[in-house]
Amino acid sequence: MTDLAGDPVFQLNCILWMLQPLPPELQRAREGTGPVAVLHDAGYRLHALGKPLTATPNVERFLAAEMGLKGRPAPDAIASAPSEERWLVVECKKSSFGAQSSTAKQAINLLARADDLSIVAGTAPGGARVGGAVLYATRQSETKKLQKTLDNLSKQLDNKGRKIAPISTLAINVTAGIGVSAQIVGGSLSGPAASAFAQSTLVLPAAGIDEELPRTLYLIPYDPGAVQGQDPSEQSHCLKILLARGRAEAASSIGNKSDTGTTILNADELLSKSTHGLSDYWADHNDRQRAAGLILNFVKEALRDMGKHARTRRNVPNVNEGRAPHRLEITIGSAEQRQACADAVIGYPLPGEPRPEDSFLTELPFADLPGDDTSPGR
Amino acid sequence: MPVLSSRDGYIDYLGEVSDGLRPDGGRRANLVKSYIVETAREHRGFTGAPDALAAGLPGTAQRVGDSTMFLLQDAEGDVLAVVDGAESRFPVVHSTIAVEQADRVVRSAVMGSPHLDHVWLPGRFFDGLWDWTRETAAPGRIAKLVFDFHGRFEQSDDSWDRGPDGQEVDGYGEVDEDLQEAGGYDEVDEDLPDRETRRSHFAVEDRVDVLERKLQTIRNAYDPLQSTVRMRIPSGGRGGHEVYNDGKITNRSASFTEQLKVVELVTGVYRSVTEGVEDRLWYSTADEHGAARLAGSPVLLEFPEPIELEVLHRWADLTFGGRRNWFRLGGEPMWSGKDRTRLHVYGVDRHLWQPITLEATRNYFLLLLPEGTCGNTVNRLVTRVQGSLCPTVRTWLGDRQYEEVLASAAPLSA
Repeated sequence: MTDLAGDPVFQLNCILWMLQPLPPELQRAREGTGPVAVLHDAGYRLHALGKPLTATPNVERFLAAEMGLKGRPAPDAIASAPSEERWLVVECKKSSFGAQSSTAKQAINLLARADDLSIVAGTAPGGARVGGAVLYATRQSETKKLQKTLDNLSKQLDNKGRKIAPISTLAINVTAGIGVSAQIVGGSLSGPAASAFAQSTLVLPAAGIDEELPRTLYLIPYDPGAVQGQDPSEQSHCLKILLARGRAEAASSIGNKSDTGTTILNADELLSKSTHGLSDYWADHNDRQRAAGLILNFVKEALRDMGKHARTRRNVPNVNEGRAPHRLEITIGSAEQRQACADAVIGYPLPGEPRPEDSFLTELPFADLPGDDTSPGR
Repeated sequence: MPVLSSRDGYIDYLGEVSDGLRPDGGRRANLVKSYIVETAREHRGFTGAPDALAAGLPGTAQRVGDSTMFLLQDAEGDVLAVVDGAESRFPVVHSTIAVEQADRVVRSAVMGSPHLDHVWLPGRFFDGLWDWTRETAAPGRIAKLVFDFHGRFEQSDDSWDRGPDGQEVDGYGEVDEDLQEAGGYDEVDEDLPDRETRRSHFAVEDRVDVLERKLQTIRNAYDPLQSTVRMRIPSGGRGGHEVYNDGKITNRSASFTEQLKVVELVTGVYRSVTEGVEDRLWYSTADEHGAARLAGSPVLLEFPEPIELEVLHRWADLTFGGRRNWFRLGGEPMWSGKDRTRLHVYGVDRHLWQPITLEATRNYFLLLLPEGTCGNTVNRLVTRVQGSLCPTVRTWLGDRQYEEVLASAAPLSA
């Protein structure tokens, strides 16, 4: 069975839903009407995703000289806090980690920097200090181990006389027929977040007693940094969502115009729109290229399929593929053809759904544009 | 309608038609019907509302002089309607032809074009309009409210959305008193279903002061009375203006000038609500010193009473199983739960082909709108849900209720 609670993409999306502006639970019609924005209700707001923690020069020097740590860690999420409370620095982990691992080094780096988030928060020099606290989200079965590791790492810093951020572990639990719940397990976190999760709190009620894997909508459909750590079933699920979003954006780009002529689907742009712009911040260019290519190839396959099954060529556009940048150029001859094309793209089955028989033959002239470099490896 | 050379000429003509009432209160000619339609915010490059409206007609749209008004003509060159404000986000179609023909022209154009939609007025919108009417109309004037709920997705077959020849129809199917008075057609969905479904249709027509005292008590007693679909605003003179939930306004007064003011009022409030919705809801990423800040707000439609699971399934099968559907949505359903209790769709709204993300259960719908999505998507979804799934649906735009956004919308709040 899929270990949903341990999947970092699922965890991050749960955290994001806890921060969404949704009606407070008490104001809802009744229980069970949607995700519960526990952190938003407690006054926290999403500040940034993947933002590097910049520390004071003093802390930077200490980390480099005494801990041998360089580089600024970028936690999964940072949330601002109400009034004078500590901001939250959130990391999502599949499981605990060894005290000597690279993940442990990252954790020490994070703990040392997170206590003072004034620079991260954009506070002017001399302004009010913004304190931070660290929250590691993981599946329930790993929380005790993880908290112990984090306590040991905290002690290392403490022994060196450094101030460290309060830190706790958030246990994510998925219970069939009940839903997704979260609870803080141990640690030193205080404030509204600690109060909100002092008991096991339902953050997504199951939709029915038969729902084994209750899942939120994915605000972040795909994270290349997390793919390696995901179970194959979750990798597939995330890819399916990414392609669904990409397909919708492609259909939109084709269908929402009114004229004839050429519509260009640029792979990078499709990827960016499919991720609400988040892919623009992926550190690795290769990750972007790979994911963008997956979307564009899927759309290309949809258009190819349209050509194979069309009863008349009147509704079949001419499609050319370009490589630099990777794109499809779709020449539309009529408004009717444009709508048929958009329909074909949005209607093309996602991976795992019944698919048309694969064929290397196509009625469409899929030719690379003259002048593009189509050599293998690009 | 005649062929005239200026916009002013048509305004005068429509004024004369409006004024052409017989002393006994009957009318010499057909009523003036005004249909507010929507294109897109800042058009997104689309300026062809008249052409889109004319697409199903034999003729093409012709500009009137050098104005922003266009003619819609039939094969003989007879003017069927005029499109005013063609370059705005909310053009208005005015017509004096028989109501069933005028309805067909506009509704066919909307359903056939991704660039057009009706302006959809949910029940809460009418509540705001009613509050305004109570405050501005003389207490002795006659107002009218019509409530309608049809549990269409409770049927076991799809006869409700098929015409006599099996072709898809637009599924409007509401009793239209304009048609009845004109001796026109009955309800579209008159075929006998295999199963009985819930159907409530109430009209109340009484003095403003009486309705003010009694109406809320009656509405609180029966859920379908939350689904307001039509309202007649009393005129300053005799008669009134009948506002429908799809943006049609029938002039039952003697003044076209006043009709234009009502159109302007509805459009103004609608624009304010819709654009306020868009600014608040759109999901996008802003730069936070080299990192990403994801901002936006979800739309939550809560069902105080859960809908039946088979109704949810039927709704999903009909909505995502075909290209033309009442909700104008498209995409592939991703179900979870052995009994299909949670639905995710990463799909599109076929009005403007806008990407949307939707979660649906028996208890709620949850909607995410990417940046650039037309707020009308929300209005249409709420209107349709209220009229066919849950009349008491509560709508939240982020953490604010829809009523709050409406209450602050000019000019109702002025």
